[in-house]
Amino acid sequence: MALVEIKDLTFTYPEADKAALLNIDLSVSEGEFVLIAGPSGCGKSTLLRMLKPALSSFGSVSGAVLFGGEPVEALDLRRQTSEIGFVMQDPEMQIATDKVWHELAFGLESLGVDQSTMRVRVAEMANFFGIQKWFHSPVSELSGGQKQLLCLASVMVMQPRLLILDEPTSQLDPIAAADFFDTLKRINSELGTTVMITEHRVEGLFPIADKVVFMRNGGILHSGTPESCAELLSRDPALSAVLPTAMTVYYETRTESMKDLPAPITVRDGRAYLKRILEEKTAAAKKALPQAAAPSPARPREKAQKSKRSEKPVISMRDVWFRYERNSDDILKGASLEINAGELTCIIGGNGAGKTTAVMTASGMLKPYRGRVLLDGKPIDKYSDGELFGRRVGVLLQNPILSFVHDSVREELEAVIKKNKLDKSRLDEIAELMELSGILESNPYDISGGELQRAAIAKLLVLEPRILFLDEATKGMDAFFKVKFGALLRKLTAQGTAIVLISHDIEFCAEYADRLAMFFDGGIIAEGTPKEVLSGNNFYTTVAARIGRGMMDGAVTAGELIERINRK
Amino acid sequence: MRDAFDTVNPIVAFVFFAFALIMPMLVMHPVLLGISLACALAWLFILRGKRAWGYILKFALPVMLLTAVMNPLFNHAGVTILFYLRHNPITLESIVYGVASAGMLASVVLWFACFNAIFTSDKIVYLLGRFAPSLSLVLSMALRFVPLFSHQAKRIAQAQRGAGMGTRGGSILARARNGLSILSSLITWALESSVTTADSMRSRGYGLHPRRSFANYRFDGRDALVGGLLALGMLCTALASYFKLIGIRFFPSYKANEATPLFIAFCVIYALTLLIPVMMNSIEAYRWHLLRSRI
Amino acid sequence: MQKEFAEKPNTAAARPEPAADERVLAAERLRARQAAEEKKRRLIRRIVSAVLILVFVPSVILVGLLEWHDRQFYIVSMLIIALSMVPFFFMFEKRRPRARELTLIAVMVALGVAGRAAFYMLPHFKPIAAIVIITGVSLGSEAGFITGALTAFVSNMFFGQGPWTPWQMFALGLIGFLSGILFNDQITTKLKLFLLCAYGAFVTVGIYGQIVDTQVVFSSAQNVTWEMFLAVYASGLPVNLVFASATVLFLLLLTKPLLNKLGRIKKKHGVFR
Repeated sequence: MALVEIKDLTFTYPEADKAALLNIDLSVSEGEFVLIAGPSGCGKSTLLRMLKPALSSFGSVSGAVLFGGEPVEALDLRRQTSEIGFVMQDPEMQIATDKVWHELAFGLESLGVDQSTMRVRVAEMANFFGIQKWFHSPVSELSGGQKQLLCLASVMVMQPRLLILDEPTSQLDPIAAADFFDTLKRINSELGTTVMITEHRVEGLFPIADKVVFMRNGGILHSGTPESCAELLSRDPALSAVLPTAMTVYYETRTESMKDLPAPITVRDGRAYLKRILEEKTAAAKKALPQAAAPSPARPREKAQKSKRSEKPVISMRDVWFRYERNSDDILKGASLEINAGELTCIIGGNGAGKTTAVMTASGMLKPYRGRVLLDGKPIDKYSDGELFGRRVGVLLQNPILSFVHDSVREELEAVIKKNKLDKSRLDEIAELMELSGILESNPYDISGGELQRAAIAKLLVLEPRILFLDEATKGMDAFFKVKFGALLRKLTAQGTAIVLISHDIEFCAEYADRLAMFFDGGIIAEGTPKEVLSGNNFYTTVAARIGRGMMDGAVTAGELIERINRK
Repeated sequence: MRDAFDTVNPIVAFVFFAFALIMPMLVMHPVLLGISLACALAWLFILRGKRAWGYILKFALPVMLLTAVMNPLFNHAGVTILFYLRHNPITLESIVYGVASAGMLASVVLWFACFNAIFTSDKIVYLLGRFAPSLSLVLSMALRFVPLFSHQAKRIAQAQRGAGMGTRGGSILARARNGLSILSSLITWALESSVTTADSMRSRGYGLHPRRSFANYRFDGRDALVGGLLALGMLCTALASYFKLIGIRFFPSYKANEATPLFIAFCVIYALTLLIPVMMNSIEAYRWHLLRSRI
Repeated sequence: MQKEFAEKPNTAAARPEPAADERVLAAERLRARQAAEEKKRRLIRRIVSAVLILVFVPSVILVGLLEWHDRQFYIVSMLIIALSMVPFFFMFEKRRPRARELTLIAVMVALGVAGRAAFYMLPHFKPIAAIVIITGVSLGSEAGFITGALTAFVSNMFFGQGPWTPWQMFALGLIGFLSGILFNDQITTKLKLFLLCAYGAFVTVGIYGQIVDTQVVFSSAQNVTWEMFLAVYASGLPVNLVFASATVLFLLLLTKPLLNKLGRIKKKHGVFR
């Protein structure tokens, strides 16, 4: 019997004219790993919350949600707690207590489990998740990945039959996300726990999932194996953005003879496919033409500069050293970076490489102790705060909600206009440019992540700064919004604004960046066009580059791979 | 270095501190106060090393001086008048009393300094959790939020500055207004995100009854030993007080009990009880020394 | 929308499901009834706690003062202060507060403590009392007391516990408690805001200052004299005035936005109806 059965479920929020969920039918068997995908606002989270009445929203419901054959509303809080685990998006505020051990024990405390059982279960979980080392740590000392792992462990400690996760890795960097997915896979395969997860990063989940459910506008568009779902999505150009690179390449390039092959999901399968299709094409062409001379891998630094450097850079940062305190370690060790008008410069690199610090230094928010930063040829510390921030430089830190201090988007923009004594019409211009008209009166806490990002950038644009610094702006965006966001950035650079974007999303950077700078250990180790930087790397590069390595060097996006395969 | 007393079960440790703190307040006998002060100081130096001087100079001394001076100025009871200050008699008794209460306050302050070092938030949450689980949970949550909010306030200030809404180098009024808007933004963020916390608590069964607090501490043989010794010391104190072994009177004239052998014996017991943490540290240090010299 | 299941594995599912609207109505009726009961319970609790704090505690103190006239003021007064808080905490525990209440209280406590740390450069110029007062006004007297007492306690966990801890806890708790009794969260007019500020000034000098200074008097005297009280209060007055002006200022600036924000959260989640 299915563990979860959803029958003709329709749900409408109070005062909403459209149903958030419409005629949902879904069944999940014990032990299945189910990925629920779909654009933001398609009802994924609402659906997941319906499975846990303690978290369901108020509204009118029809249809049924059965858990183990019983209506889920009939489960008392005790069974609901111990059998259905729920991990939410934001690891920061999900954690209630101040110490790791206390958070781990929280659920068992609620269930009133006796002391010795509690000890054993907590110890078990600490072992399973590798938490022993930070078992006694205060939560405030953990990294984002560790926090989300703790949230997961604090749910798993109750040994749920069903584990529900609502975009658990949207706030994590790719390495932490990969760790998290590995742990999920272990939970599913070693403990047999049923997993239902919504996620934007499907690349890592498609290989693990038994079933993919794709939702749109409150309904289920498709539900089936990852391959069957991909097959369907690939037919709709508006939806195919969500697919893993290998699949995209497969569907765009496959020939008749390959239709029956299973679609490749991982890089390994993708490479095998590429090899086959290249062989086939070569055979078909009857001409063993060896792979055309790909542009040689970037020789970092030297040749990067020359691209279209006729004018002087807006900001140039030269041999900058920085540390927070006299006796602490250096964060920046001789970092140099030039930022040109009308270009999107992306900064990539692992955690703790100094990316954020570099941006803070380049924007004049931090002062280096050695080296210099020039803005239009003048040392940046010679500008006063009033001259610099807003008018010349705009900085958006991670987590855009923090840049709002007023109760509506309009008030927020008006405050900037008023402070700088600008004309009121500026507000309408900006609202028009950033497509804010629908949300001007909304409270920043009531709008979606993508809208929030737009509104926060709008706030920066009021004073028309020449350089925008965006830290982790693509975090938590779904594949569909990323396309829009990329177009928006291009629109801004076309107007002559220089944009510096820190991102963990190499795929996004490869697609949209004019220049790419790779950070490691406090300095830039490679700089140039995305192609120059990424095609030389084996590991820290895009999936497309990894698929094409050795066979199609130089192609760093799925689009380039497809184009080159089809050209043959 | 980890203090040997740090690993004692919090309940035992709490009883110890209660005893050490209440005794000087109850019995302001100069000899006992001296013992209490000395024991507290000895432990504080083990706990804090040179930084103990900071506590003494910053907290204990001012309190002592203030009390010692204030008492004779305002309290004119007592029969032995030394001299008159602006027609007010200054008496020997009130000076003695002032000194005694100064000693009492100083030892309370110093014992609290030790308390603050030993009683980490974990222990307080644990102790409270046994009697008041909800309060203990609120406490634990508040302790999580304080560093989080401080961090977030800094981030908000940075975000404001980066958007050209900062007020570095502005007038005091502008800075105050900026500070306030940061506070306001922080409050909004904190309140809005508290909803997630509540959701996550409920989803992990908060509200079920009965709730049982996880005990991160055990009660082992050593705790029994320390607890037993402590109980013995307290019993002796109770007996001593019952048989009027210790007695002190400041007014109208100063009179303390005689230094009988029994009283001296009690003083030794009192000192030994208060020295439990110091002795534990010494024993531990000696054992390590032995272990190392054997290698 | 009557609907049926293909399989009806247990009795709960076998009951015919009422129509969605009906279910909503039933739920609303239930909620209304619960709300009425809750209101009654709250009123009773309020009366009980008011009696406790206004009658019981002073009489305990009085008895204590008379009974232990020539003994140890310090220890006795401290015990009395500590004991007088027990009923509040007990009632809070007894009623098993909901997760959202706990979170809100913890947030307000943390804001008070973080506020104390944020204004470290201005001694005694702290928003603590203002935040506690607003909590009491918005979330009720009980939450006000708990928030006040815990703010003092937690802040001392960072700055050091001492014999002053119970006194500060009691004083701040009392301030939060009284503001919950005297005001409701409809501070809409200028007059009401003015009254709240006046109240803030009064309680910081008259209650907080007084109670904490009394601790100083008790700590050092066996025969408490009026002169001594006067001297201590007088010497404490400047500090208390700074604290009071900070409280008034923060109340002026924070009351409205904070009440709005708390109101929004309360509405969103039906906490503390």
